[in-house]
Amino acid sequence: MSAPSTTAPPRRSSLPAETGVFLVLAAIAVWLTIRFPDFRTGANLSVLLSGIAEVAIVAAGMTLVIATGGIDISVGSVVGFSGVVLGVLVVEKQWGLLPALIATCLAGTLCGAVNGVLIARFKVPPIIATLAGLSAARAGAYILSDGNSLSGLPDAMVEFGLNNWMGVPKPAWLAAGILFFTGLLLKKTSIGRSILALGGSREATYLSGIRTANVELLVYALCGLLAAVSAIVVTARGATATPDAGKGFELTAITAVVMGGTPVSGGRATIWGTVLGMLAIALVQNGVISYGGDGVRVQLVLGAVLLLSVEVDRWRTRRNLKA
Amino acid sequence: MDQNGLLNRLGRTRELPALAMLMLVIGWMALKQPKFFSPENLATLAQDAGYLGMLACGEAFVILTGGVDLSVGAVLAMSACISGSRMMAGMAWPAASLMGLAAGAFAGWLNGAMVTMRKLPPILVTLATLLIFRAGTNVATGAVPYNNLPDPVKFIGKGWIPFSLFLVVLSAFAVALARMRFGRNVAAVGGSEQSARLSGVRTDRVIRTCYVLSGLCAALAGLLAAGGGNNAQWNLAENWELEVIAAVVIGGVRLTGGEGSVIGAGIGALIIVVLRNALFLMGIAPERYGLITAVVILLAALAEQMRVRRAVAA
Repeated sequence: MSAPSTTAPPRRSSLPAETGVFLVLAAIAVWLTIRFPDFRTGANLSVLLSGIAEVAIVAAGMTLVIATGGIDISVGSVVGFSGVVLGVLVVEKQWGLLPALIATCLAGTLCGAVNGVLIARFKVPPIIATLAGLSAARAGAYILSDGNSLSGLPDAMVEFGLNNWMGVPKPAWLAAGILFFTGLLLKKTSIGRSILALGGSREATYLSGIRTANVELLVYALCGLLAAVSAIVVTARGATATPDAGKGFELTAITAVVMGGTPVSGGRATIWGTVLGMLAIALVQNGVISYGGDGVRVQLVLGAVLLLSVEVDRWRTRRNLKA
Repeated sequence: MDQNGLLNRLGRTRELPALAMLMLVIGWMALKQPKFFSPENLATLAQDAGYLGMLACGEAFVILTGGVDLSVGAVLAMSACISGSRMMAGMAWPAASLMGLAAGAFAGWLNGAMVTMRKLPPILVTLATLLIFRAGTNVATGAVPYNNLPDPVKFIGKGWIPFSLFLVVLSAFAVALARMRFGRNVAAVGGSEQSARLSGVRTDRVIRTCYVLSGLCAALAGLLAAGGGNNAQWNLAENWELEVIAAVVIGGVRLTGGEGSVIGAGIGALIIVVLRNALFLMGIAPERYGLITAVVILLAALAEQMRVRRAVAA
């Protein structure tokens, strides 16, 4: 699937938006395969995939938000808040699993919708509205849980977090499905076209009769919903709901989306790029840990990789302009 | 209506909502918490406000150009560790401090260079350098704190001295913005980079200077914060970048650039610090502060919206 992601019809000679991240990803993968024979083992790849599933789900929503030219830095806190909602309902209130899961998704959607209303209706800049969301949702998670972690989740959930289906971890299947449908939404539906149009030019989109405020609200609500789904995965994998869950997800998700070739200015987006960006991040983590490094060194390398991808993307854009 | 009447002029003042909010919090404290006005508490407040305010001054210039600097917290920690390690290695403290400031300025120049010379989006550049500076400092120092700093450094980091320095920087920046060619150029670049360039402003140089100033402010805050806590460590000021941006925005600086004042940003920093202190005195758990911070940020953003609408209507 090398479909170019520009909304304009692509020229034959132009490189797809995913070029940068693909080159970086391929280079790291080849290096790790040569350097560490264990890298290719099924066990390692399975750990790698289930480790990024939760952030990948958030990154799918982030792709939509960035496509409109906005940004959502509250997602990590919404993950924490929705996870605590799930934990409180299941563990303390003894709700059934299904109603609790639905309530969790509603909680996340509500957080996203509040962001959306502030941005679309009250015209608060996205970074400010979601900065407030970041503070508020995290505080909400602490208030709701009283700062405690909640364990004692139903076996069905814990099983979902641990087990494989056809050799691939179940959370990874879920993430793949969500990314696939987000891609369909973006490329094959009128909503997707409206989202990209909004990012391209708000004024023109509004004047062509699209209800820009509704599209924007929908995008932020969806981003909140996906944060809640991610919270379910986080909670299942850790078998506990903690108010700290999801800290830093926003940075990783934004990094993945942008590394993938979706410009922060909006108007264009690529879900394939986001998938490749997530994989690149996973490989960086895996590689640095193979070298005996820790989380801090992962960040160091990730920062460099991010700059490299943006630089390659710039080179690609110029080359396409010349062609 | 009288365009120059007192009320009208007040309504057009950018810093007014922020100043009103600050007065409200202080007034509320005066009624509820006499402890707030104890000399010890005021000194703690002044110290914290000095650090955050210093960062907000630099950040305000960057945001005025239409950019954003997410790396301020990381630059603070990096330059504090550079100064700290030199001081512990026996270098004279003024020389070591200068090294830290130079490192901060260079870090800011690096951000600015990537933004102007490579035309990369500021949010991505400074996100990447946030990760690189922070993690690089951790790796380079082995996460070891430098906590045996010379007495003069400890002295300048405590109490009212950081606050006074913050006021000096604030006044200098405010004068530069309102009265000097550089300040006019900054506002012009933020308003419309293209128009500024076409009217002969060296836009790239102006933008780079703003990032250098932001790095320099971060380094100065780092020196003070390290001295005040007698601790230079890689995780100093972690996650402060969002508080700094919140302070600047609460102060009425428009995030898309071109409009706003450094004084507003300073008041914004004061609001955040005073509010945090007030909640602490009232015995509210730190995890819950976020809810109130969120409300303040939103109030400021909505006030700004109303001001813009009134300006458009007028």
